[in-house]
Amino acid sequence: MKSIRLSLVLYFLVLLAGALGAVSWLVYESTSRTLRKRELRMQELVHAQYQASCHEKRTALDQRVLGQAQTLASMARTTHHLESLLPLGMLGAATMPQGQYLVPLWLAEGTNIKMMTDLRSPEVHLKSAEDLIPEPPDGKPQEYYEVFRSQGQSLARSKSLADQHFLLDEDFQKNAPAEVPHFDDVDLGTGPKVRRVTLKFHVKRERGAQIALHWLLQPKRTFFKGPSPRPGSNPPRFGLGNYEFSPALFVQYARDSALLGADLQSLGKQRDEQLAALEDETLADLANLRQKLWWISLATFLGILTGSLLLIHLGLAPLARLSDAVSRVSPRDFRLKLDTKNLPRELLPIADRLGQTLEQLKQAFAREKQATADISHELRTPLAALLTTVEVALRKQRTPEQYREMLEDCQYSGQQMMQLVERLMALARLDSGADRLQTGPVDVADLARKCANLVRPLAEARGVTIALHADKPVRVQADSVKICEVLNNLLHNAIQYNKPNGSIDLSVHRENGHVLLEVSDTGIGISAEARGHIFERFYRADPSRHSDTPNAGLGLSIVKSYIDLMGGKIDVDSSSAGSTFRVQVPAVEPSPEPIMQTGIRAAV
Amino acid sequence: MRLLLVEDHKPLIRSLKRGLEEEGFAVDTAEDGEEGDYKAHSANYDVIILDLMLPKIDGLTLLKNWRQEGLKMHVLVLTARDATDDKVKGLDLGADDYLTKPFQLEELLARLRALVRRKHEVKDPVLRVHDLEIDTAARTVRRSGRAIHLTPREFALLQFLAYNQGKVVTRSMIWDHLYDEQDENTSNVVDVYIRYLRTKIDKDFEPPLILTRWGEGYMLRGVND
Repeated sequence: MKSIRLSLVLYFLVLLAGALGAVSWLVYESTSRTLRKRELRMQELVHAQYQASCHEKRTALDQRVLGQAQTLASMARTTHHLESLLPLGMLGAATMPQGQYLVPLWLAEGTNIKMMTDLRSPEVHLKSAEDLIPEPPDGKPQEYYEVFRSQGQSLARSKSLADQHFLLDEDFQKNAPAEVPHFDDVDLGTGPKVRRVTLKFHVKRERGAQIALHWLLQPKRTFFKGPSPRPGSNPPRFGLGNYEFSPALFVQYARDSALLGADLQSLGKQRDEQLAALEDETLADLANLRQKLWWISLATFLGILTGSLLLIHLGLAPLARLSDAVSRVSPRDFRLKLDTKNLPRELLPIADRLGQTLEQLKQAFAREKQATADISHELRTPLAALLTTVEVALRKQRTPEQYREMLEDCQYSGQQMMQLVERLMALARLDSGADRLQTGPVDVADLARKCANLVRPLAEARGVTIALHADKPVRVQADSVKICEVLNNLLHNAIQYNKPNGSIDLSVHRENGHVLLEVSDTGIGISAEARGHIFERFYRADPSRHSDTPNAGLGLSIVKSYIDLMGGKIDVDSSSAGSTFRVQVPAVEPSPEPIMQTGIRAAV
Repeated sequence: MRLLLVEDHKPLIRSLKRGLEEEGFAVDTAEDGEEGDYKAHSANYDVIILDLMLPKIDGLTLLKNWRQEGLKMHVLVLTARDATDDKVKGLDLGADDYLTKPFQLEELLARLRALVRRKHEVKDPVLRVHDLEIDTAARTVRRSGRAIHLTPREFALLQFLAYNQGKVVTRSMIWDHLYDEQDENTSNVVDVYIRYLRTKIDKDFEPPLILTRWGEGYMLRGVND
């Protein structure tokens, strides 16, 4: 058995689960996408940070080597203002073997002896350069340097280089601008990879000597004016042949890039950790989200389930009321005890229809009950007469004459009951559809005459005359038994309700394809109210019984049923001067068989 | 006891009248409401047996009218209507009893006897006058313990006298209550029956119970007489 409640709950649960699942999935998907995007951005940021840190480290390394190189350069670069000592220097130098041709040059150059000494052997001045290199923590050298002359000869180099050499690129040596660091990564032979900076710089000369030399050596004499050359720009070069009067030195300083590598590695590790943390965070967020969604879904599900059960209960309440009201309907009480005002619109048609049906049923039951009461009543009186007669007869010994009288009374009562039963059976047959027309060729005029003759004795007993108006034969195909029954009933009524010495007119003729039968009496007439009911079963205009006409209010209802069966119609006109029953049945042409004469016996 | 039977079913009238008369009732009959109404007004009936479905005037209307007019006779409704509503309605309109068709004659008789007792305000179905016992139910009479056989009419006369014990009943009273409309009223019929009764009741016993009041009528000796 299907329950609406259960079905609704089930469908609703499926729907709810589906909707919740879909919503949760959507929320989860969009949130996880957002989280993934956030993670991606964070990853990019981490990567960028990493890149920046790496760059910073590299730059720091470069700065470090550059700084060291510059320090080295400044150590290599010496300037002196020893002009006051010039003559002494000249003298001293002139006395020296090489000084004989150099001194004039020095003079012209405005240099001094110390400087010359410096120039010629810068290693002397770079001795302390070794201090620049920090002590390696594990004894493994980390920083290296080497100073070259402009021609590429190594002037000085760090101990850490041991047997290794830096090389000076020839192209760079020639073309590189001064004071502009050049960075590169070098493989130190079998040693470590290092980050190296090469810096070119000039050793400074005294200004006076520069000008003198310039003036002397330049064919086109132009005076050098303006401030001393800015660092980074090439100062004017003077020279004789390949001799440089402002000689350039090259410093190369390097640092083990393995250190940087270690730094970068640590940075990478840090980055990886950050990325992992990000990933973990995202995963944790997603797990959190999943959990939250699960709980929210569960709470929503339970909440809506409770709500829906309540709603279903509320929704089904009117149905329950209707069903309750219907279940209270019993054969004793057909009323639908239901307040339709509070019923929802959807149920109103059901309730209304049910109410109407119950009302019809109630009426049908009432009719049935009334019919049963009427039948029982109609049977009781003759039955009482029969039984009482028998009881009285048996109370003592009687004369044959008395017995005869009493038996006749019994017969009368018995016949009365039999007639009633026959009429009831006729109605039952009509109701069940078992009663069919049994048609044959019949002259209705002749049939009417015979019927009139049959009731004439009864009419005459009451002083009523019957006049038949049927000049021409009316030959049709019809059920003679039923027509006779109809006429018999109508004539009996006409006699019974006639005035003493009244008259009855019975006419039969053909009209517009119909057979028209008319029975008019000069009786008391039928009231307008009664006319609407006379064809109903057990209806009697006069509620009291006439014991000599035991029709029990069934005669006209049988007449009506027979005429309906024949496809005809009956109506009645009535006034205080009498009533006229008019019967119309379709005139069907008779089949060419001899007219049945036997039906009349059975009908009567 | 005189009854009026208002009923329209002829065989029933015939057999009921026969049955009741054989039990000592005087029975008048009416076949429709009008006739019943007329007769109810024209004689003093002990009980009227009234059918409800009657031609011309129906039984309930008759009953209502009679009660409104102050007629006090007992009415037993005898009808085919067996619904409780009908019974209640009939009784409420002033019927004293109600019997539905079909019925047993014995039951009708018993109810009629009960109504007669009620009319005379007697509870005991056995009427006692000195040493005379009249059992109205068994329709037997004893005097000093000896059974006395009476014809229905003699019994009815004795019963009537017994119900009016100690009171003078006139000849016309006796006539009215013991004879129906079809009986020929000859002046000495009552006297003849009184004589029959005296022969059976008083002849062999003392004191005589049936007394004659000259110029008035007859009387059954009262308890104090």
